[in-house]
Amino acid sequence: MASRRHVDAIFLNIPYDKEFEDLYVAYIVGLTQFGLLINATLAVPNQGRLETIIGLIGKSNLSIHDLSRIEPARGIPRFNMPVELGLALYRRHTTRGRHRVYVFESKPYRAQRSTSDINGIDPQIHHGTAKGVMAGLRNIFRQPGDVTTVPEMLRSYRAVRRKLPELKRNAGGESLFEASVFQDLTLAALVESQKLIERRGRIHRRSHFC
Amino acid sequence: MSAYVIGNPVPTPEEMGRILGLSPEHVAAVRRIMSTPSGRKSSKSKSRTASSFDSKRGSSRIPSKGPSSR
Repeated sequence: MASRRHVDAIFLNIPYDKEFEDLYVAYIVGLTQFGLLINATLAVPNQGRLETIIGLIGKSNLSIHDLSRIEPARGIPRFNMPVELGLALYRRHTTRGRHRVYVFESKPYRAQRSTSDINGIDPQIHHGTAKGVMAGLRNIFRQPGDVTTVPEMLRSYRAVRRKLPELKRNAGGESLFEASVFQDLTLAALVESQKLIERRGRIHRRSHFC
Repeated sequence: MSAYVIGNPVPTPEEMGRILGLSPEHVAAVRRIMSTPSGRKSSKSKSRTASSFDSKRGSSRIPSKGPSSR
C-alpha cells in the first residue's frame, strides 16, 4: 500500500451560504490546486462546535478568514468569522508564528476599520469575484517552481463549476455545503490540476523538440 | 507580506482520496464526471452513485451532516 504523503492543512473560515457559492468553489479549487488540504467548519453541529473549530485550527498550520460578509443578516451582525479569526490569531501567538493567518475582504480598508486589532495583517481584497480570490491566493502562496497561474486556476474553477450539478447528484447532496459534496469538489479540482500539469508537459515537450 | 512556500507538490486525486479516507472507486467516479464532456450525462451518475462505493464517507476530516448555520 502506498504511504501517505504530507500535505499542508489550511483552516478555511468563510460564510457557507447560497450567496457565497461561487467564492466557496473558488476557494476550494484554488487552495486544492496549491496542494493544500482544507479543514472547514462545514456541518459542525452547535453542540461542541467551539471545541471542533479549535481542533480544526489546531490541525492546520495555515488559516484563511474571509471577512467580506460580516454585515448584519436579518438585523443581526455575523460574528462567527471574526470569532474564528481570533482563535486562529491566538494559535499563531502560541505557536510563535508557525500557524500563519491570512485575511480576505471584498472591499479595501474595510477590515482595518471593522477589525482594527488586525491592522498588522494586510487583507487580500477579492472584490467579491472568483478571479479576486485566485489572485489573493496567488499573492500569499508559492509552489515549488511557482507553476500555477491565475488564468489556469480560473480555467479549472470554470470546469468544476460546469460539473456542479453532476458532482452534487453523484454525492447525493442537496447543497454544495454538505461534507460529501465538499470532498468531491476537492477531488474534482485535483483532476483539473492534473490536466493542467499534463497540458504544461505537452507544451514543454513541443517547445523542446521545435 | 512574505509568501508562504508550500513545501510539497500537488497531490493526485488518488492521494487526496486516501488522505480523506475515500475509496479508489469513489475517486474514479469523480474522475469520470470531470472527463465527461459537458452537456452529456455521465453514465456513472445515471446508474450508480460514488457514495454507494464508499462506506467510509463522512469519516474524514469534516463531519457529514447538513449545512451549517453560520
